[in-house]
Amino acid sequence: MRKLLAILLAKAGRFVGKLVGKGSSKPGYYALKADPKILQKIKLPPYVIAVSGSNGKTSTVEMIAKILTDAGLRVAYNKEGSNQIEGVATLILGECTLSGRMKSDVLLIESDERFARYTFSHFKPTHFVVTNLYRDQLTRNGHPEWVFDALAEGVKPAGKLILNADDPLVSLFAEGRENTVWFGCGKLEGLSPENDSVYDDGRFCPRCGERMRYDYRVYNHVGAYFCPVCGYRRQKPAYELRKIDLAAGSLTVASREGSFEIPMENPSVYSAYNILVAFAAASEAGVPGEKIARSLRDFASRMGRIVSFTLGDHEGKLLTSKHENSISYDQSIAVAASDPEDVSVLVIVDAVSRKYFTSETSWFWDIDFEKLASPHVRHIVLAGTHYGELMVRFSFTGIPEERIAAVRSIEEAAELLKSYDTKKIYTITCFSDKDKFLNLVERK
Amino acid sequence: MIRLYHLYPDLMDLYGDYANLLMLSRALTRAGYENEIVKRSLIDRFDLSDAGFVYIGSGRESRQKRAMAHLLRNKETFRDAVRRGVPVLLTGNAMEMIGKSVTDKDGVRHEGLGLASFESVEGTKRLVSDEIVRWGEEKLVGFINKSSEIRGVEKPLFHVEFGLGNAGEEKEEGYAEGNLFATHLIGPILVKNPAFLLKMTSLAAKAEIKADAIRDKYADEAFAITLSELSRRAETETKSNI
Repeated sequence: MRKLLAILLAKAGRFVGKLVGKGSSKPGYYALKADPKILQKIKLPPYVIAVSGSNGKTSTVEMIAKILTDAGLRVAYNKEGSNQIEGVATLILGECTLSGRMKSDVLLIESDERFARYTFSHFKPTHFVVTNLYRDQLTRNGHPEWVFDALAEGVKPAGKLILNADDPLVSLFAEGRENTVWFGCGKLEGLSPENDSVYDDGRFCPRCGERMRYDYRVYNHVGAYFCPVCGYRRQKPAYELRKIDLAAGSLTVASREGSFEIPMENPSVYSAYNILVAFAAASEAGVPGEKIARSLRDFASRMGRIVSFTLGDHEGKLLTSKHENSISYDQSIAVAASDPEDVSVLVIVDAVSRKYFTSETSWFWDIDFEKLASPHVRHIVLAGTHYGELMVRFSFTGIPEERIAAVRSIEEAAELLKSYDTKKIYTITCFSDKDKFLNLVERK
Repeated sequence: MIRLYHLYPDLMDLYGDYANLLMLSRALTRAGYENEIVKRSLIDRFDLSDAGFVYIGSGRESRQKRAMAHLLRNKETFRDAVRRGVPVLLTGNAMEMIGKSVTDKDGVRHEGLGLASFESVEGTKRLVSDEIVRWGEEKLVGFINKSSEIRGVEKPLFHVEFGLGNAGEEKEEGYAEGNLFATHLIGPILVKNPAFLLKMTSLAAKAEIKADAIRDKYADEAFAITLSELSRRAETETKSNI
């Protein structure tokens, strides 16, 4: 009875939620209240795929869902923001019959690193994908090792692991267990063992703590690592990036089925990894490589991470990043810095947290703002509440001062950009701040 | 030549800690003092006899233990520097190294330098908060992100007006003795607090440096905004813990 009550509650809640236009995790919340063990009583589909990691979760999950749906499977997956247990419960119960059987072929779950252990104490994923672990919202998550410890418990019950072979910390999840498959980036032209980021999270072996070495690095601590002391090293990937052509916007994935060329919507090594992860997960779920490649070819990001706009007679792109996540900023910076035309760059850090003012800005010092030093980045404008500290950070980048302006007001920043003869603008900011700028421009 | 020693920059590097040295070095240069940043870590020979300033930043719990064990083996030179009155700044969990011990979350006790009598105990929760602290006549701002509580601090550095103290509900934060300054504030503290930077610059220069000599307009404005925004938050939040 409790089980039926919980399912009915979740369904009723979801129905009301849809009527008032609110998708929330409240239905799951009430269902769990009615029956805390409800999720253990549901018959799950043959594939339960969990995706976790610091970056790329959402776009990876979107891609996997698209590929599996194209392959004719019924996929239930959670959208951004509902990856805690209540959200997962809402998803599962909304997709199941009154007798408690899920109607989908695949349950695909984006799982927050910190909450995976709670979610997967209720049921076991058949596949657990970990994209990467790096510095992300240290205020909320602690540091990468802290996240590793939290996530380890959630990963443990999974049937098969799909892990990043190039991330030494992520690879550690495979220690002491079998049934792991790896994805990674091959030794591409131009990759060197040197770290060119501001900080280096690949200095020490996560297993023994001694100094680690690299055959090559893809970015920061991600690469072909090996520990000369304990022998811990990169595993051979079953899914490997063999080519990344940023100029042409394409990449090549090699698997046991052969090589597949796939275009990239937003060319960068980071999105190449996301595509690789989606390829690996879909392949493990039984979709043939050719089908995966076809799905990915017409996949366009629905997340709106890149928004095109016009400001006066200027054309611009807003690159959505995540505050407190230096690598997401590095990705946006790479896009702006690799544009061969003259550009202006606007960086906005207005509200680090949506809830209240916070002064945690140590992550400014982890971002490679130095990469904006190239001469075709003609103007840099820093705006928002934290313009002052941003300016102090930029004063150590070696970028000539006359190229940089810092103002608190975002309106004033937009006026400045309009006054420059550089016709192309890149705006780099967090999704929590982006509307403050997009309200001032014409969206395309 | 003033040598600014940054110890364990590779292990203790979690919160943009290196920026503290950049700020100090630039301030000294602006005030007319030649200086250089010297980095020392595990594999290096440790000799602080020519140190004009010593700094250690925050690290993951596991790396703090490695750094602390290493520092313990080089205790003499560190202690001598402290005794000579060389200004020493420890931020984040580097503060814990000078206490008697740090007990990790598995209950294992790691020996500290014992320059101060306090003891640190790590837990399984992270303690995170914005901070406003009183330091003499000045107010300073910053951020704490730690997993430990420190008890038995005899000479605290700051009085907490908003945020977390050394342990529990305590209103005292950090530790100070002579020219040794230890605080769990991260942030980086010398970027955020021009007044504290001025103090460290004067100590390193062994002279009274004027604020105007090292003034950074943007750092000043950032401090003013942060203090006013955090003060507003402090007013609306009755209790300090987030």
